[in-house]
Amino acid sequence: MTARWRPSATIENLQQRGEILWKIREFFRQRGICEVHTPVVGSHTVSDPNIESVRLANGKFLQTSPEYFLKRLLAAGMPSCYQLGPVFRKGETGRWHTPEFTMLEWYHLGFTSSELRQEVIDLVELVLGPSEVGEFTFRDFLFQEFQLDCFECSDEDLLNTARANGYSNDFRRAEVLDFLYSSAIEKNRDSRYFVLDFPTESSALAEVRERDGHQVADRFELIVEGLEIANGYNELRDPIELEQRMERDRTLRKQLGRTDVEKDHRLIEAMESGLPQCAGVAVGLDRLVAVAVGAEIVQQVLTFAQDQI
Amino acid sequence: MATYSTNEFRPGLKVLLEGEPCVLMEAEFVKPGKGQAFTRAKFKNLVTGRVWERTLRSGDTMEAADVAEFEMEYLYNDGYQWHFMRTDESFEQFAADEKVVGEAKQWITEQDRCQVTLWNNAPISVAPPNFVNLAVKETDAGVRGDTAQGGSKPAILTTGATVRVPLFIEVGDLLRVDTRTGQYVGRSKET
Repeated sequence: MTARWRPSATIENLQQRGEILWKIREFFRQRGICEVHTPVVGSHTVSDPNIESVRLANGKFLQTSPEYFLKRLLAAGMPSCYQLGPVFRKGETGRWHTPEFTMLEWYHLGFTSSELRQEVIDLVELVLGPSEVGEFTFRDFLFQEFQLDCFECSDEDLLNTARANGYSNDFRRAEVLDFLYSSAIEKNRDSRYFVLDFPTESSALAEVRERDGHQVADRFELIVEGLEIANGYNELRDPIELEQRMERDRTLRKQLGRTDVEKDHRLIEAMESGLPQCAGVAVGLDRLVAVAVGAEIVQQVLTFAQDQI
Repeated sequence: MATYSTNEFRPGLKVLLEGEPCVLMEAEFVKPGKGQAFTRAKFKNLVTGRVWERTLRSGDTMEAADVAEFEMEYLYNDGYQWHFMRTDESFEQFAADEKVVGEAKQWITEQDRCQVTLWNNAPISVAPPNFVNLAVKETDAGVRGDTAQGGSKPAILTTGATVRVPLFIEVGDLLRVDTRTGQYVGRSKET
């Protein structure tokens, strides 16, 4: 029995966590990437239909990522920069999810997504030590698990494959792809690998490009020991496309019965003024620390987890 | 009728799945970085005991099942039904048929205290006490030194159950049996 006042993590884990934070800050300092702190509370929030924000009594939102603020800084002339701090997502609770978590997000000016992937590898190796890192396109990744070409097959084949793997809802393409993707991660036993070139349904704020005759999002995720550790983009810079995606998100939110999210015009104006070409990535710091210390649940590396606060 | 959202899922929750009462065994929140959140859940059907796995959309709701477990005293069998009475002050009686009593019927004798699960106020399962004391009705006379069966032999108990016992056990001996494993624990000193 643990006393109610005690922390969720052991003191040893917290000391290791402190050591990792120090290494990360040193990593960025050596590369000339500046640490910034943007507000945790904002009057707008992300439009992504699958992310719910915590709304405060004054109508403002706890930020789900520093993305919008950081991009406004970049548009204003800030060079490559990073933020390391808390972000909030409503309703996300599980072994590897917690409503408040620590995000490390950075933007590297002039980088392509593949250059940024190498930088992510360097950072992860600094924390976890070296290991081979694989690379699959989303399409190949699903194919090797399910022998199904998700860009060419019929909706029916897609749904049947999902059902055979435990999916029990009706058909919505984006949702079925999300389900198959999550299942494929669970089945894959590789220690570290990237998945890239996602379906455009999950492009978020990534540029879209063509690959093998299909439009794909120039986006990547890094999986470490079965956990999604990083999510990066070649950043979208077109303000018109940005506004269209925000509109699309709002329509989808309405269809899914989620709360409406107003467009953040300050972000649109920043992009109109000009976002320099860059690639950006967000790393789930708590998970990375959890892998480093060999934790079984993310709560083992948090000072005070949700049920202890 | 009350409902539970996947956000409220805790092991032990009783819900209706495809119209059948189930207990939630475990639930895992799964969410790809930029995608739909799911809750993978394992349910045990309280009627059949079978385990069902389902992937729900996070935020979906399930209807609560009106399921409750009570300690009840086994009263008697009238030939086709087993009768039980709650041990609290209510003295409320319930009858369960053979399908519901299931495995428990080979262990229970009058006045045993059982755990009876009710769904919409009707019994759906009966769990016997973990340990019961039963007399041996039939068993071969043991031959000392005969270790062909590992020094054990079958014995039929008064309730009809068969358990493996040491060779020295004789007809009429009172045995203590673990109903969860169906194994002989020792000779009982109680009568």
